[in-house]
Amino acid sequence: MNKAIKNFVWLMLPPCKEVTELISLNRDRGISFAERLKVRAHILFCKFCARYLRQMQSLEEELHHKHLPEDAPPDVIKRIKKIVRDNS
Amino acid sequence: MAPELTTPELWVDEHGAYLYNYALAQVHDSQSAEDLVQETFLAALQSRQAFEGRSPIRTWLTGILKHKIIDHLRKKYRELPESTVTLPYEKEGLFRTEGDMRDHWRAEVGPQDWVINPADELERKEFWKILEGCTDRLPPRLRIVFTLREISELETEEICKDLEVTATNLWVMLHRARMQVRRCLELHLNA
Repeated sequence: MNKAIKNFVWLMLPPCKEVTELISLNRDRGISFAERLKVRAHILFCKFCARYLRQMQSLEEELHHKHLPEDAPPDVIKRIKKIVRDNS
Repeated sequence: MAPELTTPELWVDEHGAYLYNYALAQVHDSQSAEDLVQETFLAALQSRQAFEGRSPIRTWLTGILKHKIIDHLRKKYRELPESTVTLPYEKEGLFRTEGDMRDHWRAEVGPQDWVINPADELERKEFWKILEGCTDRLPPRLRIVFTLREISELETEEICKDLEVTATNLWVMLHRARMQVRRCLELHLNA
């Protein structure tokens, strides 16, 4: 792309700080179609924000598919069991 | 299908550890986690008749526990003072403050690729250890807000109602918590 056009497009897009805010907003209440386009376009130009978005997505993915261990301290289980037995 | 075939003590054997870890991931304090699981089993004993075995026992118990965790976090949130601390990432100044590139990432501190990939089975454990360390270090109120949204997976409307905060205020807190957790992860994953 012509460098002047590229620069012009870049200047019309929201700065990185705003892009990170839009990414959060999108997750919590959704953003408008126009805002989404601006984020998409910004990311084409900006490797930092592209990484930021990828990292936030993989962070959420991990948090939501947390694999819980199936073991706990034996004394905790013992105490809980006693309470259950005493109240059964 | 027939819950009468299992005794409450067996519930503890089969689901106690899972429930304990479920609680611990959200309350970050082993004594509270244990208390909440205990209360859950006691509540389950009392409402045993109402449980008709339409869902697996674990789902039923987790449902009871979930409510207790949210109650617990809500109470804790209200006891804590409002936090006005500047977060480490804010002190660092990740964005430029002047010039044409104002509010763009400073090149030295812009997001870098993570060396540890959470999607990798072998590296996941390490990732989680670091992630837990990072969420634990959030200021207490931010940690509760982040937990309710990202781990308890409550909708924002519900969190606003539970904690009596405005939508804007909640959103600002969530964004700051996410920025801080991501930056902390990056610094420790790539250390």
